[in-house]
Amino acid sequence: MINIRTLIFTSLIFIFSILILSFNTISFNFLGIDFDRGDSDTIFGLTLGLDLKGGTHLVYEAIPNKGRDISNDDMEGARKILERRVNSFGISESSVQIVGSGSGVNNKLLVQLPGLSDLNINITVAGGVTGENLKEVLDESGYTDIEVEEIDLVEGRFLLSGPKLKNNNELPNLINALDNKYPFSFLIAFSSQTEDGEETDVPTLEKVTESVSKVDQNSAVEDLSQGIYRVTLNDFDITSDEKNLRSLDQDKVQTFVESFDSIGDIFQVSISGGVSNWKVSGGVEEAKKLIGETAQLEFKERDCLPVENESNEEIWPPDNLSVEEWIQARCVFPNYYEDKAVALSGEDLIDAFPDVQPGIARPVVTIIFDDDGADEFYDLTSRVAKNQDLLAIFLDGEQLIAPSASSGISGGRAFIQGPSFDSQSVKTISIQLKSGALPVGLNLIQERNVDASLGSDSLSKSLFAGSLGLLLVLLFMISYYRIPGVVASMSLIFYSLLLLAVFKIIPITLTLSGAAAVILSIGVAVDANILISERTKEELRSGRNVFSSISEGFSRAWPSIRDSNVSTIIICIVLYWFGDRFTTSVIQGFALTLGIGVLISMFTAFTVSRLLMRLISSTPIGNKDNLYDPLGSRKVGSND
Amino acid sequence: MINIVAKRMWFLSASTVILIVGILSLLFPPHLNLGIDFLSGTGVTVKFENDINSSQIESQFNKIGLDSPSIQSMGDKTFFIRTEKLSDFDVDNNDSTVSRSDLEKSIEEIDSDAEIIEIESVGTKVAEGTVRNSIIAVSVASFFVMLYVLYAFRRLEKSYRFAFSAVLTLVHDVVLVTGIYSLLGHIFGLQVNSVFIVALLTVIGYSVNDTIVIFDRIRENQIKFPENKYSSNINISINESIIRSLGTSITTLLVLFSMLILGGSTLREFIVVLILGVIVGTYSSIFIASQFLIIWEEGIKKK
Repeated sequence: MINIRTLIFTSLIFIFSILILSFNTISFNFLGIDFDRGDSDTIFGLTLGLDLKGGTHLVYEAIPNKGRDISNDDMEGARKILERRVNSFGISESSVQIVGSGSGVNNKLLVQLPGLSDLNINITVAGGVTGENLKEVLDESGYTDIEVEEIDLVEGRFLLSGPKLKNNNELPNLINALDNKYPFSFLIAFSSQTEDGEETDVPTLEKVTESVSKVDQNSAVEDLSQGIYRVTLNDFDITSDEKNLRSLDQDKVQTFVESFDSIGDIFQVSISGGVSNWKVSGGVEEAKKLIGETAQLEFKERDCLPVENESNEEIWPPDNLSVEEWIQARCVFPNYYEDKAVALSGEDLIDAFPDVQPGIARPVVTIIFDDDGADEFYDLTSRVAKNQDLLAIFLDGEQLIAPSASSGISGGRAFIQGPSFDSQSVKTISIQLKSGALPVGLNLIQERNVDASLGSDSLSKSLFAGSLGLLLVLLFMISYYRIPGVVASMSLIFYSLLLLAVFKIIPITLTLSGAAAVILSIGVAVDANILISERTKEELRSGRNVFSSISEGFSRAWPSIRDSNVSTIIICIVLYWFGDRFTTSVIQGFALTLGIGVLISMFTAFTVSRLLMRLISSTPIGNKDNLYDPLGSRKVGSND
Repeated sequence: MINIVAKRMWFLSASTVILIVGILSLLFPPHLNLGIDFLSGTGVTVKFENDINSSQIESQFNKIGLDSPSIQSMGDKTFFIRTEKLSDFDVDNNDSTVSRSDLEKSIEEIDSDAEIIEIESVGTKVAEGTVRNSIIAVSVASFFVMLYVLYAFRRLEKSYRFAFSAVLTLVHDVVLVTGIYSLLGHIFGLQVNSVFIVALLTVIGYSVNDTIVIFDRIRENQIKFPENKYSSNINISINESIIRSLGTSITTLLVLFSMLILGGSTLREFIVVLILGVIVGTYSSIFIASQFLIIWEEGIKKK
């Protein structure tokens, strides 16, 4: 009997699988649950691993800070900090995971950065250039795959992004093309008054031209009237170009401006055209710097020799210093003080940011500690205030700042002021304080970069080869097993579609090892069908009719399929469980993909294949038993 | 019906010979041609634009202090170069002074249009863990498979024999595949990396799967014909499953060979191990696995 409910259920699954795979991205909001799957750039919108779409994979090992063991909290803290840093890099789908080595605390961090090999150039082009202009110029020069994003039109800042440049000459070529299109030009305004306020003639075009020719013979000068000239440079390079970086060279700018000294007073100079800055980012090295080369923040109590003569020394202050000098020197020269370790560490620091304080003219840095840190900070500042010592803060072993304290500070919130603080320096100090808040040291132990083109190349080749292999399997099955072969083929196609749809919905990241698991799972799916076909054939040979042979075939094949597949699933579970001991996701990806594949193959073999077999066997053609047996004859089984 | 059981000494001897050859090959240097996942170091895949030969690469690498890099041509002007680990790894235990940018620069020197397709560096710590964890994972997996077989065959007398034989077959397959791969490593320079471990795991899965299907038949026939001699029941079971075993391997091999011939070069070593594994797995499930059962029952002597 054909079970109508099974038929409807199976058809629905089939239609859903097709639907899921037909749209690259699926996103909707259902009952407040956001559902967002798929990827517009990949085949069927599947989520691809770094080895298939290209990217960078870094593994860091945590090193304990002096004398302390690493705890799980430390690792989680470090993971969060790395995640924040990675996110600030602006790469989508990046991830930071804690992985282990099998014993003790999991002490490794796996950072995955897809698409890092893409190119990003931050560029500043003066002269009212729009993104559209820039895009046109790039297109004309053959860089059609580079996209332009306007960041700040007033300042002329743009972000160029696109696939990795093919070779090392290409970047200079690109910049050259832009330089040719946007030559460097300056607006120079001469003052029409002398310093004493008397009227004076502005220099003539000839004089300006003559002056400029001292630094650049091929320059062009344009009179914009009333003492304002536009000078377009040709030979004189006013910038300093380093690898991946250009900025204005202040010395050269000075030389350029000074060339006009003899002819008049310059009132104003401004850049009116040209590429004044560019910076290439997005490289692996830069990411590694940002993520891994982390500073370690340490707080120390700077215990200076006392101000007053406390230990009844004969001569105080020492070294023939006056009392005033001693107060200055006691916390400055290392022979007068000792830096003592304290229980406060970088991980106690929650935040640090530039701030202002009423009554203080200069900006300050506000620091905030967590609860434990707040208590310790209070004790520390109390001691420091009492002894007129300092609180020294070190970054990577180098002293960052060493503020004093006038009294114990409670509540875990404090501000640091300094006589030389300005808006820039408080910003830098805040960043340094924050970046140092890593509870563990980091040691790079593994790195893997895959070029996107290699990934997509191996993916498309493997897909092609895999599909061809599958086609050969189908041909073999049909020609050898006839009707059961046809059923198996249809069931296999169903299986492949459902498997991909499930991968997309969960979603499972497809890696090269996952692809291998898919091949194996196809083998498993074929195997189930072969077992069933063989069993059905045997039952036919023992004299049963077609319909009951099919039923028997399925029920007899079941124990073998169950036992062999359960063993495979056991292996998958163990591998998945152990997989995070390996610093690659290769093993886990394989185990997960294979496990899901095997489960689905059992489902398709016993639902879809059975349904199809019953459907076909109830048709007139499907009732011919020689279409089920490759030998075409009914023989009694030989197990007598 | 083919009397496979009677010829068991032939198959066991054949396996023993291949095992000995494989183990010998493993004993002689370079044993297994271990990759950077196991030994630490750096592997770079570079596609050059111009015609470059190995000695050009070697001399350029020597210049920056990377001695005796191993250079392997992968065709299409693409080379796989393996060398020591770089300076930013293992900060506490590293005497390398060559940084990644030094390496990139020296490749640029060889051919300014070269494209670095893939670069991988592995520190000592990772390498040490890989071997240990692979062995642990395989052992634990085998243990649990054994438990399951014990459970699945619980209705039979001496079900533990099935469990042990299945695992013994698994070990046989792993050693055989590793041995043959080591031999191929001597001849073709195939490397063992973490992908090899995945392939070996696949082989284990396949081998157990295949063995259990046959054991299942033996279980069925033992229950159906308890009066038959143990070895003749086993022979019947093997004969009944042989078509299925061959059918499954043929289909799997069809996919694998098309992947080997048409798939990308990155998967080549992986596919080679899988093909070896499928062939060995099928062979052992038909000719070896059940023989362990018979020997256990009837002793080593041929009856």
